Amino acid sequence: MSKIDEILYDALEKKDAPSAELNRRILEKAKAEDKIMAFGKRKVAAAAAIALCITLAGGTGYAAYRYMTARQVVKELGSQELSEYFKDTDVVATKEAGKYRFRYLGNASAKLKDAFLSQEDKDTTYVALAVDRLDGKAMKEEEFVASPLIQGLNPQQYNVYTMGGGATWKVKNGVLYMIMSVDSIEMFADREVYLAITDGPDYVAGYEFDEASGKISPKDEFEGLNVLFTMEMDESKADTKAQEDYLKNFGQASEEEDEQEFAVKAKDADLQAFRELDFASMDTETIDKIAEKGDCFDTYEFEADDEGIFHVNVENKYLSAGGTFTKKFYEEGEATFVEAHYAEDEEVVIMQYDLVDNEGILHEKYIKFSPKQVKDIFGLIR
Amino acid sequence: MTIQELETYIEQYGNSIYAFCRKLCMDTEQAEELYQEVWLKAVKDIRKIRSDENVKSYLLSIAVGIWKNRKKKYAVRDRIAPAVPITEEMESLLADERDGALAEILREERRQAVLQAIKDLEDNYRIPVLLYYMEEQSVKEIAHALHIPQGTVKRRLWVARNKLSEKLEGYINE
Repeated sequence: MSKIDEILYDALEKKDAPSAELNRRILEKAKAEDKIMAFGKRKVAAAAAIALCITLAGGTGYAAYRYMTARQVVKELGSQELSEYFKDTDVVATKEAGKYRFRYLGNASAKLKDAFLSQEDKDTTYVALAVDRLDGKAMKEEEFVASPLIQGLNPQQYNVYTMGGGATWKVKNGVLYMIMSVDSIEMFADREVYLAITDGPDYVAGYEFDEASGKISPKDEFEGLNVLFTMEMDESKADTKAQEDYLKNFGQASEEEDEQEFAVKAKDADLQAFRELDFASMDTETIDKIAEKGDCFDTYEFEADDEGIFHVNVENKYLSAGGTFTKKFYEEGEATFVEAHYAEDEEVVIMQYDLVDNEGILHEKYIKFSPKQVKDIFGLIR
Repeated sequence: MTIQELETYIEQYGNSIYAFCRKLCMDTEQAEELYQEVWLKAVKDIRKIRSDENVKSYLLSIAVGIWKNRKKKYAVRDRIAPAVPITEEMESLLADERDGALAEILREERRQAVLQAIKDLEDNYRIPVLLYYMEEQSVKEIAHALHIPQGTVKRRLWVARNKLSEKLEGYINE
């Protein structure tokens, strides 16, 4: 190649690209003008047909301009007030893992007048993200866990579940959008702050914590999802004193919440003791024997969809509940998610009991215990 | 063209078409306007594409057509500027003390000089250069996009290269 050709190719190497917002505007304008044209005799565009095939085969996936912005996501998921804190700009970062593409759309910290995923009058950090499938198929409401992780703080102790976390999500146009919230972490802006995304029940097993440097990284050998983004933080908000205060008081708030939950004690001492049993440590045989002592008044069966997700919807006299749960959370033949709820009005305890049988069907049972019925149970577990 | 097909083409060729519009207009706002017009016109006209025609080439030809018709609207005002304008990128590199920064500065300086030289060419020569070196279109595809014979394309590229070689002599002899 001659020198002039060399410098011309080098100088004209493409660096400009249209913003996602520009492409979005074009599509919206085209839709508004509603110019839908047939290709006529379909002799047209062998090249176009090839382009379509590439898309259908998942070669290009879901283009950036088809995503809602962080601000739009927050508005869509229910908080006009919070949406004002988010930018209306393009995706911050993208990663592919397994059969998914994860896009980190942005984050903001705020103290909202109207509570959203958190308590009112509490500084909270919110993160927006989007998930779609690499094969181009529409997402269903699959369960991912998104958590902030902070350099220097062990993920086992400091994660979305221990830091006042919450989440909400919605599928729109085949894309799953999610907002995650935690106690405000702006103060940690002088450290590396990460956004971790997993799909299993053990949400930190996929990450390595280096005790010396405090850095957190995905484990290469981990077989599940262990996506990790570095979050965009405003360094001017870093506050060492606030960090010290937060870490000093850490854990006290969750203990107080646990105390509140048990603040309403059952009048009957045996009923109260039954509520406090550690069902998670019991084997299924023992739990079955306990269940037989009560009155089963409601049962449900759920079959998982093609993605291995149970779509649960329950409504009875004592509670209503719903959600999506991945099959991975359950061991076949083992009692899972056993809980005891106190119904103060009737002075009874309602035991909820899940079990996936060896055909993969989720059985959810609700069993009522009176004070008299629980007396017989303690002999079973001594 | 359906919206689905428009999205597909934007995804496939959007970056290329935008980069080309950007070089034609040398101004972001005008480039965005031109880029938008290309797609909206393509939505109306894409059924005219022949089965053996390269879609990208067709889109580039739309861009050239619109740009030629509205050249006055997209004309860039002459600015008083240094022969090699200092860009933000160069300033950032100058502030950077990492090794290799000087080589990058020199490369960027050369790039700016080349872009200026291309900008100074007449349209008859500038557009084939952009299509050939930036969009990597073949002579045949350029001829089709510009509705001129292939021989004319070859001649214009040859003339353009000579003019650029003369202007950029210092960089060629480095």
